[in-house]
Amino acid sequence: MDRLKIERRGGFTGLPARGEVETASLSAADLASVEALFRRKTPPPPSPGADRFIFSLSRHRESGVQTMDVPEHLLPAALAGAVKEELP
Amino acid sequence: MTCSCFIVPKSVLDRFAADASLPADSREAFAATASLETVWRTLRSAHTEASQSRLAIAPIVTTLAAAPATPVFDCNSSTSLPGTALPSTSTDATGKRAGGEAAAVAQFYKDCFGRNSVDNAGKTLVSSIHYGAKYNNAFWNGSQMAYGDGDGNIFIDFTLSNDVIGHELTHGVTQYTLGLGYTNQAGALNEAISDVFGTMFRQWQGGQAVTAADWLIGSGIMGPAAKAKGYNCLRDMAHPDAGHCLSAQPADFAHYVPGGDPHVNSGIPNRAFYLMAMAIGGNSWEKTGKVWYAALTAGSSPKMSFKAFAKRTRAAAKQLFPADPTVLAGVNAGWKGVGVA
Ligand SMILES: [Zn+2]
Repeated sequence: MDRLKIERRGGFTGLPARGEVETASLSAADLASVEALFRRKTPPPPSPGADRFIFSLSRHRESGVQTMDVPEHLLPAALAGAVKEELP
Repeated sequence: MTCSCFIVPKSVLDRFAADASLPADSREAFAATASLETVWRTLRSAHTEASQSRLAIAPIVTTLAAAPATPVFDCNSSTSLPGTALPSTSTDATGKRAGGEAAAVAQFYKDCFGRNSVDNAGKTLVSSIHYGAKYNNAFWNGSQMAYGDGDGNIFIDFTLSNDVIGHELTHGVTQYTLGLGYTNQAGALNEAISDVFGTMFRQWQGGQAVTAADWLIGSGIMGPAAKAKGYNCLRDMAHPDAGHCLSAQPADFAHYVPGGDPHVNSGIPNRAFYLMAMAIGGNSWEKTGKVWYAALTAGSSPKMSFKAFAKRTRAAAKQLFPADPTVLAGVNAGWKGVGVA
């Protein structure tokens, strides 16, 4: 089973957040979005403006780990909502 | 980052202006902005053809809309912008705050710096509230502001700190002026300018001299879990590395983090502003703020370094306050204090 590790940075607060999601728990549409992201040859540009979140998305599979930076406007809500801040 | 690519297309404004589901006053605002865009585009192309007309055009554009409209939209926990227009009869406290404070920030820029909205041409200031679910953030998307409600635990409603609203709108001003990027020193400067003018707006609204101000960023959005751990702000411009800051930052250039997030390294120019404001004294928006505003609006420079910005502030201090040497001395002391010589 594939696992997605998500690390968030940026935002007005600058407070990092992280979380994990099993791909089996994703809807078909969200899974397709994730697959499409990892098929990209070049990383997507950041969301326009300022104080936007950036998510480092790592896909852990038996064959290895793939990591890419995803701007918040391209990340499915189920993944963006899976991260939690930890108070230092 | 150029400004023109973020202007709301006229077709979109026209669509809003004709949208019967929007309240009449919002439709009027969009129609007014759409017609202003047309005028502005026409004037801009005229300007390109006749470069000498630049100074003649600027005052005309500025007077087209004396004060920007500040409509508020409700995302209802979704992430699609702008959401649905909040009716003028709405009693939503977040909506009232977002619209009211956006108008107050516009007034601040007008009264203190003679600027008409983020583009200095009366651009409508759109705010969207209740963005996302338990969304711990506020942002500027290149053409409007968006505010989350917070998770109610670490953060609460992001409209509750007036410096946050000043911060987000200032990203619009920076976009239309210095045009700073979002990486390295330029990115940190971008964030610092938003904190600086955000806190200056807070002081102006509270009628606070520099010695009476708290210099805290985000003090009004801290939730119960953050407060319980002793955090009373996100950032403290006077003491960026203090333990009471939830997002502590480097306080001087010796602690600059290479490749760090803009919200990390902004602590350095943030503290430089604090140090010079305290050295110059009085109200931050009267002298120190005017120096920074002059540096911000002296032409586009997307990759500007701390040093280059410091140089601009020194030039502005000399030019704006030739008879008051304490201003230049304060500016020099501020940059020296954070190790940017
Ligand atoms: Zn910012």
